[in-house]
Amino acid sequence: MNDTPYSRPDPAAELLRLVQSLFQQGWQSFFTLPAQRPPDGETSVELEVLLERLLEQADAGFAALQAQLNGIHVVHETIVEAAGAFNRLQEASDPAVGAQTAWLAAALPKLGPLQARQARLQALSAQLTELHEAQQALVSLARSAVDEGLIDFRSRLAKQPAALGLRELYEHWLGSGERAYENMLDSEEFSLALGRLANCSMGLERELQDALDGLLGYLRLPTRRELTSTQRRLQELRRRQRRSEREVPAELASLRQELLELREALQRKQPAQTKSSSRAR
Amino acid sequence: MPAELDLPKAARELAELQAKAQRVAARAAALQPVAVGESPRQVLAHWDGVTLYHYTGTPAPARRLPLLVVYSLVNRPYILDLKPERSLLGALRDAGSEVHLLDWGYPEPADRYLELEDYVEGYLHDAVELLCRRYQVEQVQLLGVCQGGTLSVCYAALNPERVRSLITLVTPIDFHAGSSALYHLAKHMDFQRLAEGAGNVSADLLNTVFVGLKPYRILTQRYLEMLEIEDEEALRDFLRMERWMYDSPDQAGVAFAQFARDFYQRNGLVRGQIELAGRPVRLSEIRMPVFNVYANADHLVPPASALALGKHAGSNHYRFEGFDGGHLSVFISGRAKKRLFPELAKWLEQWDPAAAQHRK
Repeated sequence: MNDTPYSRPDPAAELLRLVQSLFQQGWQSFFTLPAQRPPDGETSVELEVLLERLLEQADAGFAALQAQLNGIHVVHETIVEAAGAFNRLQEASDPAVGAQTAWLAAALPKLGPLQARQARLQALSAQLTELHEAQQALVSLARSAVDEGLIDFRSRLAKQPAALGLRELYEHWLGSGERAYENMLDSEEFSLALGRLANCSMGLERELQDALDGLLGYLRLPTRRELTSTQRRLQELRRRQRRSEREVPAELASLRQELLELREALQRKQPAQTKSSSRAR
Repeated sequence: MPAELDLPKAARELAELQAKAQRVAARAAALQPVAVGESPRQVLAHWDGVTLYHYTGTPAPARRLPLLVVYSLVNRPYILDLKPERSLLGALRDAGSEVHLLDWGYPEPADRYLELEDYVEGYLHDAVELLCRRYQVEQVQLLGVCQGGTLSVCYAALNPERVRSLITLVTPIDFHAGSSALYHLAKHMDFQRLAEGAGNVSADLLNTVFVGLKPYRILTQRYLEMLEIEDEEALRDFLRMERWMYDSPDQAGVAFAQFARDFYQRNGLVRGQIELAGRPVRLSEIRMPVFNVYANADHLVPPASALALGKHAGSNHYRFEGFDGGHLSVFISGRAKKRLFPELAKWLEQWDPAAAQHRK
């Protein structure tokens, strides 16, 4: 299997992974749960109570998800701040640039020699906000699907004539939850929200890469740009090598053929020459 | 009257379930790691991270054209040889084919600029050429699975003179047909940006997407079913599948973006808009015999998507067959072993001129 040496803050992947971990936590708690026995004398319990507990669990799950997303958001904000701090560091080390910084910070339009840098920081900040909104939109869709599933679950239970066992209860929960989830998945709204989140996430990642590349270059460390340029060149070389490997045997075959034809021509010529030289003698 | 939970019954069920869970979990842990892909094979060639294998021990004399199997880039190909008793590769070998597998391996960061043309006109073409030289033949028989089927279709369309016959298993052709869930998810994503920013696409992300299509089934129902497994070999089979499901390679960034954008978003294959190595991929060039197998309940490749091959290919000998079951049932189910594998073997023999001559 593939070992990933480090994990990077990829919000789209993180969100999906967190949804998955909610299921996994459910399983873990099942494996460690001591077998429940009903309190003495009790033979049944209203499922409304159970539903309330399910809703509480969903609330707790989404709160945990939100906390994780906030954590990722803090990571991104820190990187953006670091990029800003790096810019300030560069400005401080260059008096000519530093003199313009105060004026530029106050000025709203992007003007002067630092306008590209200013624009980049503004774009980064806007993308961070956009990403946060996109995450919230997707989480809100997921929350609606869970709620819709529980509402359907409740209405199914209300139609049951007799008390249910655990297995029957699970089958109803699975049916309701899955249907609500698949409705969400099939909706254009979800497709748009997922696309928006993925695009924001990738856009932000790209901006952060550029911002950090500046810092790496300043420290004379290998940059991402250098790495991708090498990777691109490597691929070009591989293609060129493959072409040569294919062309060489074909060229060799053609040269061999040419040589063969020359030999044959020479052999045809030689007897003729021998005849004419013997006649001359 | 509000619905009620029968507490004594529920407590009994929970206790039984937990007892089963502890028993099965302990047995499963003891069986791991499980072996997969055990059929004997040898390496014929290795290009970068890509390997060409020959499945050795063909019982019948090698009178046939070599068979080259091409699997998807997304998962590992040992699903075709999960265990010797349920192995598509083994079954075709035992039926007399010289079976070869092109294993794409695990792309590394240095592979991020691999393009689809490198896969199709590079590695796949090199494999075909090598087999033609090795067996002193002009053509091979090609069998493509899922995305590997799409790549095989592209190869066959670009190099029809090299492909004697083509089998496609659960292969997407029309990427917008039949409400494809993957198209729906990919519809609004900017894959160019992904390729530029992300480098290779992580296996974790792809796994999460696939699990995200059916989380209730994959993360809940599947493990409840596991608790009911009494037979040790059946439990081993479950663990083999479990290993395969999450053993996924990263995807070379540029090739992944090309596939998602040009095939899924633009539906370029049926619109005649795909170009590889500067050459247009025309499905009408697929004039060799084709056997197209799809799964009736496939949630990844809807039947309509696979069936589009019949409409666009130029073959005069086109056969198609719907198999009852989901995406994977075509190569791992007992029914496939009993019914489909012999059909595939018979068809390969039918379109092998040397085998036909031998029959006379």
